[in-house]
Amino acid sequence: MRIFEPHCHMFSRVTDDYERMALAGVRVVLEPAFWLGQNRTSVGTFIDYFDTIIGWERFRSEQCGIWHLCTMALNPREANDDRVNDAVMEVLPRYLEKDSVVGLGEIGLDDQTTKEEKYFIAQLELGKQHDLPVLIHTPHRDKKRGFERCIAILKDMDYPMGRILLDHSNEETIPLTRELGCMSGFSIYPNTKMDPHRMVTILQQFGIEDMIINSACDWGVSDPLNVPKTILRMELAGFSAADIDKLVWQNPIDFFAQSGRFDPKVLETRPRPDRGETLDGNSMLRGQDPGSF
Amino acid sequence: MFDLEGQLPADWLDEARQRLRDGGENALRVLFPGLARSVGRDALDGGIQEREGLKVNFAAWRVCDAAGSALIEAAETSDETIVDLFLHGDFEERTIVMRSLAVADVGPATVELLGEAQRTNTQTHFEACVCDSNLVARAVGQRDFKTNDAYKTLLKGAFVGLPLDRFFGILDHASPELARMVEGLASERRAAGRAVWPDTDRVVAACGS
Repeated sequence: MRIFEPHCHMFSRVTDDYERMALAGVRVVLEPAFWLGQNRTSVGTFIDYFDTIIGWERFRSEQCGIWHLCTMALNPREANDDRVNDAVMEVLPRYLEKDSVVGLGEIGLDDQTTKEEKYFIAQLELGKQHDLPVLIHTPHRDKKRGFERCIAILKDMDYPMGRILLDHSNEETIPLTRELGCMSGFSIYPNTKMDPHRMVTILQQFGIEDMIINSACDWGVSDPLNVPKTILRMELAGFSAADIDKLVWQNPIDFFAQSGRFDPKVLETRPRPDRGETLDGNSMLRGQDPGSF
Repeated sequence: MFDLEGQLPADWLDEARQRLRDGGENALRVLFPGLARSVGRDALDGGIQEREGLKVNFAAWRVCDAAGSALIEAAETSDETIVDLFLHGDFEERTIVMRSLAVADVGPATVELLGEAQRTNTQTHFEACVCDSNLVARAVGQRDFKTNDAYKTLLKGAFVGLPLDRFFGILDHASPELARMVEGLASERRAAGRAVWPDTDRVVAACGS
């Protein structure tokens, strides 16, 4: 099984997670820029974070045999923070042009404030200028109304829906998005927003067309193996290998390939890790012998 | 100064220059990350060329390096922005910025980036900055780049095993102090039973006694 994991915050995970994911079939991870669990106080920490997800994190992932792509954005939660919002918007255009950046995200709404809408719209314009697909974070509270508001904004802007991924969907939101022509994402957590069992039920009801699943694994209670665990449940429920491949490989490939920044054929291979390799002079070895792996 | 434009895609260059006219250095910051993606990494045609005191081996250059140089020149880029392009660049961007120094006058950015070359552990960036041109030799005595800084650069090259011939004109600044530094490295290597830099004797001979 080949897996493109389209929403993982690997910045918050350990190297063991990469190794377990590689063993479970993950060949590509996509890391959206997001909120780090506490607010940042200056644009410098955003710049360092952005540099890490196109730098060290990409290196670390490839050392474990997994390609690493990312999306860049001012996340909706910190769009509310005047210490950083405008300054991040100023540096974003140069980061949206970096090689491993294949989309804009996570943008969207969280607490559904006026400021969030302002930066959501401004970033959607950036998505057009840089010709990138867009990953949209939807609120965890008052979710259905948040979905409706996101969709209304997109329609107001006459945004091409084929370039939109509305993430963190659930049973109540999926009927809203099926006819829009956008991609619907599901973040599968151990217990909360969505779980493997509920996910299978949704797929049985709504099919796999324009659907994407991810673990959204981050700094909280989350599981980087939740896509493979959902695959197992799908197999037990009788889904064909071709359908599963479409869901966990072809759909995310097709969506993010709209960026024109990667060759899908290359992603079918594994990066060839050389544990002696360095990034800015640093390897992952921590003094160990490269031959011991 | 050097005519590299003929090797760049004409449509791309026209559009990029228009964006620079409209957006200045901010547009340059946005254009830079996509350079290698836009024009490719193929080798440039052309070997060693000399113009107005500058000497560059373009066999070491790629199309994206030439594109970066053309944009830096077209935008009349400030020294602050050249350094910014390096500091915020990824691996390719940094390489391109470093190579561009070889075809420009020695300014404050050149001296600052020669310092970055001396500090980096990324050999590609070191080589892009100090090898295959006479940049180091012609920087001597300009701004606060001193003869001893050029020696330390060559010593780092020797330390990582780069051939002397890639540092054009460096022996024009040879002195007994350079011989002392190079011999010191050789002595240390011999004591450790390790290979000595093959160009040690050539440098020492050029330095006199």
